[in-house]
Amino acid sequence: MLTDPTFIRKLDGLYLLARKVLGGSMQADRKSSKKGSGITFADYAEYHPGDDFRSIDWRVYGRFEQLVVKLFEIDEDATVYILLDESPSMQSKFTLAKQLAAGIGYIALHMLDQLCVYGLADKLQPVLERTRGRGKVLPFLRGLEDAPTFGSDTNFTACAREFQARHRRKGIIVVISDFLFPSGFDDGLKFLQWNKHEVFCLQVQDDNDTKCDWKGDVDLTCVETGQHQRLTITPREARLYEQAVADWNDSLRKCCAKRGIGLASTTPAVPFETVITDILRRGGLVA
Amino acid sequence: MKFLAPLFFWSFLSFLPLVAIYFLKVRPRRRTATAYFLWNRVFTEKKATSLFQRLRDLLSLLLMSLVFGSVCLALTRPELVNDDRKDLLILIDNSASMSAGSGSAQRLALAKTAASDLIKGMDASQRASVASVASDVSFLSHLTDNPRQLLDAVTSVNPTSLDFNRNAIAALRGGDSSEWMKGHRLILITDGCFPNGSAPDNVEILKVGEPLENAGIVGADARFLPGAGNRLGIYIRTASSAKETIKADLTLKPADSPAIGKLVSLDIKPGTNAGETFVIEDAAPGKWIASLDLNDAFAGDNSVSLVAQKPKPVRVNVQASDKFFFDTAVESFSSGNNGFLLLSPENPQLVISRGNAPDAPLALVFEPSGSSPWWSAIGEPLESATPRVSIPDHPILRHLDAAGINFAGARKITPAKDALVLVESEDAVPLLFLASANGRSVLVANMNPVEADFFYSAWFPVLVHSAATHLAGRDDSLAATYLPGESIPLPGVRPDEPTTIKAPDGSSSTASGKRSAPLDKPGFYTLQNASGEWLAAVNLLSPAETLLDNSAAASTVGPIASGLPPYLILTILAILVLIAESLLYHRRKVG
Repeated sequence: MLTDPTFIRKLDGLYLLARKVLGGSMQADRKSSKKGSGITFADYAEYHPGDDFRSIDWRVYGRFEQLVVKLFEIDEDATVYILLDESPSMQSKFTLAKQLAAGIGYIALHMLDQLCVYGLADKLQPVLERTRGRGKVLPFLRGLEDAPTFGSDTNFTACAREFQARHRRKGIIVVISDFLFPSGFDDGLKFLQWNKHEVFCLQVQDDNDTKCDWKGDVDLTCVETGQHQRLTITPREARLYEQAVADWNDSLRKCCAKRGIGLASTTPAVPFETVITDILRRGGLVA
Repeated sequence: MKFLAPLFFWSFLSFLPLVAIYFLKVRPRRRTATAYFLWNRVFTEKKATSLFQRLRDLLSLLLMSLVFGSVCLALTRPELVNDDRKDLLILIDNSASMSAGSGSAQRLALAKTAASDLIKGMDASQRASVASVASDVSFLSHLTDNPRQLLDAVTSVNPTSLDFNRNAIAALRGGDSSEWMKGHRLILITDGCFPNGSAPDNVEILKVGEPLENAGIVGADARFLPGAGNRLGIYIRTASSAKETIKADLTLKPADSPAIGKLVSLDIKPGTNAGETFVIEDAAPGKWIASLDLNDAFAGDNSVSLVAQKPKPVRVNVQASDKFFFDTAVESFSSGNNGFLLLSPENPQLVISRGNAPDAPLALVFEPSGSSPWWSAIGEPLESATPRVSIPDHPILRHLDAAGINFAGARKITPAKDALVLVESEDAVPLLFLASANGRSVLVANMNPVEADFFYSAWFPVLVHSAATHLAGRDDSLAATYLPGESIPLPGVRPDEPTTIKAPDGSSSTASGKRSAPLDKPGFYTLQNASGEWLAAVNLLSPAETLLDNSAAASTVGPIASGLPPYLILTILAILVLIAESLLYHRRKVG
């Protein structure tokens, strides 16, 4: 239960850890790399016509007879987008995926960032429209808790395009999925990154995805499309499948590394708070 | 093809549940995959085997059907019609010639080896029985497919000194066993030394042994010659299978004495030689041995045992008014040393009387009168007594023309109960009858010998002799030698009296009646009964057993069914297919 007090206490703990790691306690605590009209001095810049006279540092002019303007860091509120894979293939690890989404979303809301959560399958389905503030935590958790799996396929590229069509504002996109997309993940990640989003991939897979314990005749059915065929799985086929999954995950790793996309992989055997703690200790949702 | 157990065809009905169970069994487990597209990628590389995979279930069903069908068919015990897989009767010749040779080359040893090889080569379902054959067929095992029993039976075959009797095998094909024998193949393992050189009919021959050079005695006899003195004539006939004439010394000597009666050098030509008679002057009656000084392939025919029989006369006394005629008749058979009858007033064995029956164990009574236990009533004389022979083959009538005897003076008479009427009148009045009771016997001639002029008839002494020898149990006199397997007459014995027979190997047996059981051991026999002690001898004396050149004989045995029977082939097929199906099943279920 995502709204369970015990679980929420765990989320509080994570938030405190996030504050300690990431710093700041003000509105829009998350520092931006942009320079603007904030209150924290950042740097000097040469004056150009049109610049705000109020930002000219007259002291520097008095000393060096050169007009420079003071630059301040902008304390802007970031937008965190969570794309949660809600396709039927996530059924066995859906709880963990939801807990991870809850943890990230909880921290984001407490940092006064904007949070937007979408379900991901053959289409995009909103779980939580863009919102901000600590007061939205419970609606967020309830919405997440009630979110079912849906769809008959997973089309990440189409979902990415649909997401971009809805939200042009750049933000941090956290994709929580097993990344076992029949049409691939490369195009979708590339498209999101091309649209200036900071993308972080959180891969959740369990033993059903990575290992094959079946032997002999099976009627193999796709959990999403319902397609099926009768196969005889020998140890050789089992090994080939496990190798195929390993290759697939390896290609995901290479893709993320090439594009500077952060990636963390976990399994249901690892508690969600451990996963988030590790992410935070590595510096947050960074590559 | 025929089926020994066609009822098992019903077992094919169980094929239906098999198919149902099979289809339930091969339904695969349902599994859901989250990375179905990766499975597709794996199995795209294995499209070449997809056809086999699709057909595999059908193939498995086909294999299981084959297994089931094979088992069901095997249960019906199919037999191929043209399969000559009949039961075998393995006959091992153990006649005397099979003892030829020595050691492992002995013909009987070779025959036993051949029989063992035959048994070991039989397939598991082939049934056989083992018998030995010489003068007769002796079964040594039941019909069985157990090789151990058959081999034990082969081992138990022992050599004999008997002549080969081809009629013994022919008898198997006839009589009560003819139907049983139709389903059998007779395989005779022999050296091919058959009487007259001809093999038994309807028998497959498996010949053993090579031609051997051998010579021996194939005919012998001994008897005292007529005339004065004890001149013993010994008849010897030899035969040889050697290609050239063999010289050998023939020794004739009494068995109980170291003295040699005669030593003769013989030239034994190839084949059967003409017989020769050797006379020994002043020879003692009893056991004699004739032996050839030879060291050849078969020693059993190099010597013969002969008994120089001296007849023991029947002691006869006459108690009649016409004593002269009766004495003359008796004395006519007691002349010389070889007399059969002897007038002996003291301790007579037989009493001849006229009128009343004498109180003697054996009696010949003419013209019966008065009362007697042998008849109950004497009536009026018969007007006409035309004799009619009732038992023509009776020993008493063997040398008599009873129908030509004049039975004048015969009277109506009622013989004792159980009397044997040999001759009777046309009115059924006994004219010659034999009665026995309480160890006594009497022959009654219902005639007046004077009125019938019987004393002058040629049949009178013949009747006296026949009556005396028959009543004294001397119908058949003992010969100098007998062949193995023959039964010999037991002289002087009354019907229920025992005779102790002592064999050459010292064993004793008891026989009752007038003939012994077949005697098969060569050598001297001693017969002991109430009439005294008698001697007899048994010798091989067979050209077929001596002439050991078997080159003319050839094996005619056909092939023995050595392949597996159909039911066993089907069972093995079922097992093999079951193994193949198990591998498929294992691959399907375990991967």
